Order: sequence, then C-alpha cells, then structure tokens
Amino acid sequence: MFYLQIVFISIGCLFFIIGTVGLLRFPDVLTRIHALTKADNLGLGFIVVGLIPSQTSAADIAKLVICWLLILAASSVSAYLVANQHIRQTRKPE
Amino acid sequence: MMWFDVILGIGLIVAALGVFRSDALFRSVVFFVTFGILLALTWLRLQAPDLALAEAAIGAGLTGVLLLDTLGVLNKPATVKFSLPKHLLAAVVAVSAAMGLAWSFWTLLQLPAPVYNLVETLAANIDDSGVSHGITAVLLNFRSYDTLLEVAVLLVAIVIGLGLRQELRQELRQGVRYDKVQSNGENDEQSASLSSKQANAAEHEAPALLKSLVHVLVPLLLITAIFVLWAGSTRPGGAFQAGALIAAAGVLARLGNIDIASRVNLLLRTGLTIGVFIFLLVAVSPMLTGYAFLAYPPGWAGVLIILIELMLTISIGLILLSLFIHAPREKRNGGSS
Repeated sequence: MFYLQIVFISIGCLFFIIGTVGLLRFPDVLTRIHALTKADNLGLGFIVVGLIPSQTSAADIAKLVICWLLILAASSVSAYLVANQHIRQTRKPE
Repeated sequence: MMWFDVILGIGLIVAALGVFRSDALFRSVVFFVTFGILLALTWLRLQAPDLALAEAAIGAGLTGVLLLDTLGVLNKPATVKFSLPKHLLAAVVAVSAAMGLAWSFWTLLQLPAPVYNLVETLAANIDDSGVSHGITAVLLNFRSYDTLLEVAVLLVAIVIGLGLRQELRQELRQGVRYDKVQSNGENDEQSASLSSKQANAAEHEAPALLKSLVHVLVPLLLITAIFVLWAGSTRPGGAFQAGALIAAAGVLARLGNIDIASRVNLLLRTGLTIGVFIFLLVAVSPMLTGYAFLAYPPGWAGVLIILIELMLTISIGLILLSLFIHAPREKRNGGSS
C-alpha cells in the first residue's frame, strides 16, 4: 500500500510540474488556463487518492475529498471567469 | 523537514522582495498574497495554528481582496516610478528600523533568563479560565483587556472608513445612491427601494456559473465559521478567524452581485457595534457587584466567553466585510447604473 501511495503522489506531483511548465511556456491567457486548471486539478486528485490510505478515520478521508471537490469547483469557475474577462477585453477594440 | 523550513524561509524573503521590487502594482499584490500564504505555513511550522488561520484568512485572503479591489478602482496605469527623495527617505526609515530591531534584539540577549515561565503559568491556571484552549483563555480571560482594545480599534477603523466613503461619494455624486439612506432620514423607504432595485438589476449581470458557485460556497463558509467559532474553546479557532470567514462569505456574495449588506443599513450598523457593546457590558456589569473590571463572576466564565466570542464574530465579520463593500467604487457603480 505504501508503495502504491508513493506512485499516486508522484503522479500527482508530475501533473503539477507539467501544469507549471505549461503556465510558463504557453503563449497566451487561454492556453495557460488550460494547462493550469486541467493538469493541477488532476494532480491534486492523485495526491488526495495517495493520501487517503494514511488516514485513520472516515471523517479525515471525507475532509480530504471535500477539499478536492471544493478546489475543483472554485478553480473551474475562476478559470471560466478569467477566460471570460479575457475574451471580453480582447473583443472590445473590434 | 529542515530543508522544507529552509525553502519556506527563502520563499518568504523572495516573496517579500517581490512585493517591493515589482514594477506593476498588480504583481506586487500577487506577491503579497503569496507572502501571506507562505507566512501562514511558517506559523504552522512554528506550531501556532491559531496565527496560521488568522494570517491565511485575514492577512492573505481578505487583505489581498481589498488590495485587488483598490487596484480595480484606480484608474491610472498602476506602476511605481523611481523618485530619488522618496527612495532615500524609505532607505533611511528602513535602515533605522533595522538598527532599532538589531539593538532591541541585542538588549534582549543581554537580559537574564525570565523568572516567569508563561507557558507553565498558563497551564497551571487554565482550569479557572472557563475554556480548555490556551490561546482563547489568554485572549478572552487573562488578557481580555487587549482583545477589547483590538476590537475597539477595528470599530474605529470602520467608522472612519464609512465616514470617508460618504465624503468621497458626495464629491462624485452622479445620482441617487443608497448613501442617501443615512444622509437624510425622510427618504429612507424611497431610496432603500431604489437601491434594492439597483441591486436587483446588478444581480443579473453576474455570470451564472459564478452565481451558482456562490450559492454553494456561502452556506458552506457560514457553517465553517460557526464551527471555527465553536472550536475556539477547545482547539485552534475563535472569533477573529470565524469573523474572517463570515467576511469572506460576504465578499463572495458581493462578487456574485448578491448585494445583502447595502440593503440592511440599520441592521449592519447594529452588527458593527454589537461586539464591542456586549464586550463592554460584560466587562462593566461585574463591577456592580464588587468585582474588578473585566473579571468574570465565578462559574460564568465559559458561558460569557462564548457569548462575547459570538458577538465579536458577528462584528468582526461585518467590519471586515464593510471595509470591502463600502469602499468607494465609482468605476463599477458608474458602469452598472
């Protein structure tokens, strides 16, 4: 189980690194959001799954999962808002 | 863990430098929020979870929101220009502050070891305090005078904030705003209904996705605030952290264009003052029966602390929220009306 946890958390970290590379390398706002939200949320999910076996109580597991779900909701909505604002701002000059 | 601490320390310094060395103000604000989150982690590593909670919620979260909001209102291109006298003055202040710090650190080192061990004194007396969490016992029983003054300072800050708002609004008045509600009492109903009409009109502008997120998050935040308040008597938590969560819920609702606070002006004002009022009432009333100022009657400490904390939570939450909501924002209002 321990090694499985290591594998899951490593995959999670890898996704975070990929997301960060995307943030640094992609050319504009929309592609950067794409890299950040998709890769990071998946990475966070892997880390949460990797951490679940070390929890002793069901309440702690529930807290971890709730954290992930809340971050999923918040980051998807904020990504939408940033993208929306970006599109509005770039459209104006036309 | 030592390497984590080292990286954390370096990160703090880099973030602090980033705040001051950035050309664009927006970047400074982002660095400031990062600094706050790193600082919260640092408090956690120093085993001060109460401080970590407060720093994350107030230092990084709400202050960050306030700064971003201020940036949004500023019309000028937000960049810092180099000017020699200003930087020279800042350098002098920084150097003298650093020398003062070094001097006080040096004198601290020269002092003999303290005779009192505060941690042991606290542990010996905690049973008399009415709560089982040391921080809450210190904040609301052993050193409650400090807390009373802190909350009074917050109240003064928001009173000044509201005063400034009115003055600015009057300068920039373009039409009827809800600040009429307090400037002339007769028009209460009329302008209140007008302001709620404006608020209703504004509510349609918020993106549906944001609104539905707000609908989910605001109740969750309020429940968490109540939990944090309740937890304060036995573990890390308490009025300031819970108040910050309530304020965060209000800010979110406002961002989703659900304008609660400006519709209930009188209630808001009552809420702003009720914390200090109840605190003072509890502080003074034992004096009638011969106790000292701020001394809880025996056996009542636990109940009274919870009562004060509940009222403080409401007040702190509303004060922090009002600092955000009632900040002058002529840009956004001008656009919507």
